[in-house]
Amino acid sequence: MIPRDHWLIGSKGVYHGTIGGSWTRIGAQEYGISSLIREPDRLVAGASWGSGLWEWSIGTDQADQADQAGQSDQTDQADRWKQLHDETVTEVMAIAPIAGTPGVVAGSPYGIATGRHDDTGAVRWTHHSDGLRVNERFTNAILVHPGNASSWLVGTEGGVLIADDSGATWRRTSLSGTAIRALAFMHGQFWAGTDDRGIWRSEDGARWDSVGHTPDGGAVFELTLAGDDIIAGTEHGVAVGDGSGHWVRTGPRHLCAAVRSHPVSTSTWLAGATPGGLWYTEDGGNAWQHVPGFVNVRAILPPETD
Amino acid sequence: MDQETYNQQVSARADQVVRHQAGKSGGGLWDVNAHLATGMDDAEVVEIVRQSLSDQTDGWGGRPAGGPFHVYPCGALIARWPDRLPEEALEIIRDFMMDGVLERGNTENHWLMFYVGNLLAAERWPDEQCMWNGLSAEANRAEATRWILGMIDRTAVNGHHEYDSPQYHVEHMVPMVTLADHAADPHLRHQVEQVLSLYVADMALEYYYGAWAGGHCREGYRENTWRKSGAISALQYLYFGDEEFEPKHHVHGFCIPPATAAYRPPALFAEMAVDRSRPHVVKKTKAPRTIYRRVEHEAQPVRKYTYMSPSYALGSSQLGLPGPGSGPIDLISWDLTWRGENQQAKICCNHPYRSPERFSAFLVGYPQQIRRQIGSDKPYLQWPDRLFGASPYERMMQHEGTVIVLYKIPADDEAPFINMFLPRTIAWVERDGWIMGDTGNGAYVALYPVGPYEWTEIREEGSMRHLAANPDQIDGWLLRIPDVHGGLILEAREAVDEDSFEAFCTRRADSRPDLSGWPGSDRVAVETMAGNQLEMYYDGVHGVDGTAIDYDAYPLYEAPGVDAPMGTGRMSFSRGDQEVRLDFGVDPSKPLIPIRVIG
Repeated sequence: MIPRDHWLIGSKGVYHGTIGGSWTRIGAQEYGISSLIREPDRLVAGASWGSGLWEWSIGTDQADQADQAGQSDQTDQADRWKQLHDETVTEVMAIAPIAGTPGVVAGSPYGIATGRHDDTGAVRWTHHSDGLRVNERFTNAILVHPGNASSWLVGTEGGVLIADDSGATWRRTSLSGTAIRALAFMHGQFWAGTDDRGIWRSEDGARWDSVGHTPDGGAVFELTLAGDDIIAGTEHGVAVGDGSGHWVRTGPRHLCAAVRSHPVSTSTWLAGATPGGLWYTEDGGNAWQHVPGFVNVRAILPPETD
Repeated sequence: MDQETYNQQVSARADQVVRHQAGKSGGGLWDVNAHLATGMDDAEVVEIVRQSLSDQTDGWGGRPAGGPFHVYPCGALIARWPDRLPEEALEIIRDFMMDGVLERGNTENHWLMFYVGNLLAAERWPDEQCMWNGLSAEANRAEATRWILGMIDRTAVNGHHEYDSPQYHVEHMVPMVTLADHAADPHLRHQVEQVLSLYVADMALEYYYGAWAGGHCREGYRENTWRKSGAISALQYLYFGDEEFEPKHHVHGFCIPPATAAYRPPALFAEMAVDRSRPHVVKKTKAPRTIYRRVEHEAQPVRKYTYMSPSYALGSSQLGLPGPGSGPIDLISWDLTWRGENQQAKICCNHPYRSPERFSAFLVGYPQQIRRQIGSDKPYLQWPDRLFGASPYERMMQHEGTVIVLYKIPADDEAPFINMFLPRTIAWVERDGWIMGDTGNGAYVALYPVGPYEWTEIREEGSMRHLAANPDQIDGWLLRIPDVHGGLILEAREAVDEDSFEAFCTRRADSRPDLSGWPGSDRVAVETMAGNQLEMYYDGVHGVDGTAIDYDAYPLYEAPGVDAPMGTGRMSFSRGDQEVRLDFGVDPSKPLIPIRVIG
């Protein structure tokens, strides 16, 4: 059972829990998690260091039900992550939900890939980036265009590219020649975090304008909304901006790989450091508290709202 | 030697190895093959298996945990000893393969071990609907078969990816040996037997008195100054003999499964390995290095050139690296070796490249901290005295016993110098810029440092790590060339071709290399003592006697008795009336499975 009001943490395995409460690993896996998707009936986790892509079914809470019914075999099958990768999908760096089944586009150092189930129930993957340059294949972030589900913005080591027609055709954008670590769609615009050029904004995903950075600089690993503000996970901690180009760094200094705001209590944020573990604030970044038990955190998903 | 005689010899050595290992108590999943072969009590076998698979994931709901070094030997045990493995041990393995949290790893040898073990487990329990990863045995079998067959095709067409590694070649050979004996699919068994012939050919063509001469993709663990490095000595002994049995080198846990296997290589490879009657050149092509970011170009194929002479072996590589950022950490691009004591029979040099981009180019961690992350586990990768690992600023050319190695290191590089290792026991002579020595084993060597050098020493005590124990990890002279435009010219000669060592010194010192074009015109030239004119442009043409070397024309293998063109998947190895013909049946119209791992 994964309560809807629980946060999800991608660390050495996937954890769920609440601020001030306990954190429970989902299943037994301890892979280094790079990315997460939460859907009503499942979680999908991307894992680095060769560990691929995994799915956890939560639609029926089958493990708990099987436990109660004393169906141990069913428990065995339900209480585990199911492999989604194949022999061509290796180190998953980014994932995004798409239509169909298995319903995910996966990004790795070798590009983006989509899958289909074969007759054994396994997923076979097709890669779409093979014709790109070396740095353009290495994928750090994927964002499905909110107005066109078959158009994907892909943040690579070589810049932002757009994969149209579900990866059949590619476009380069004006934001190139730098590694992109974060992509987001906020306030009706596209946003990108780079390694060495700060934060960028675009109306259409193709033409980008710089919108500044904190005075500390460094890479930007996450961009997300906290109420009307934008918060960024940066190489030197969390930064807060209002979208005008003015950014203020706050809290502990660490490589902040992930940061998310609570969907209702928007002054409550969780920040994941790599290394540095998990931190939270309940007052919009003025005071921060360390959550024991984590070392490297690369992905955070907030609780769901009704 | 006929195949039957050879097989008997291998069996005798295998028996020697197995009996030695069985005489030691305990061990792990690899060693237990020896115990099963010699009648260990069932309870002890069970205890070894239980202990070896005792790792669990943390906390509530913990499951058995392991990686390729567990998965493969589990598969090997259930395949090799179906009637001998105690039922309790079999159940422990079954639990591991059905309920474990298993890791695939991130190198080619990791994946091979993982997929072989997973395949053999899927074949042992073919009706399972839910193995460790939630997929059926049939799905696991299909995935493993695809990857293994794809890897074999790729090796036959482009050359081995994790090539010629004194340590990791074992982790390629051994799982394949198990598959050759036990895979259910006849086509897979056939392909495995063929690729095993390539693997053994790789070992044989550069075998030199228990050493693996020349360049290696990965010779990690700081052993490249050792005369015999890595676990390969055990397989060399098993398949080539050539030496008196010495357990320290010839018994290794990883090589116990093949010592209890039925597989035997074609006999002609053992003859090729130990035939040092005539000097000859060995050329090989190997797959491009996996470099997936922080570079502007694709890596190109590796071209190896190794000169096998009766009293020495000199090998070098064209690495095909795509420039700054790329510097595979375990790679050995060249060395000279001869018969001698450990640390006393190698010469090598390198630039200890230490860029922040170096690990990012082939590992997925954040570039902002991966250097610290990797350096925490392996601090020696950052040491300035490091003697191994590739540099994007290194270039070289070789003709027979002469090699030119040049560096153009940016002035602001963190390591603006070159390290060169020389053995201590040679009475070195310095004359007119040449440093010359008598190896004492039939070879003379002369080297000409390009740039000023400082003569110092390098010593490091050995550690009792699990791969090998050695009282001296490194012990020798270190010549540091504190010049960003440094280099080395080295020539080795058979002593029998010279009147005396003094005559050798006089003749070599009489002719200096032509450094008038270095570094300004990127050109260095030297006349070898055999009268060949070598001319090298750093990023340009490499020529011998006015003819440019065409590296693109290198075949997959070139050596006496070998015909192996690139890209065909067909090759032959012949010696006397023996011949091994391989045809992998690769369909050139179909894409090869991509390499998605490092190595």
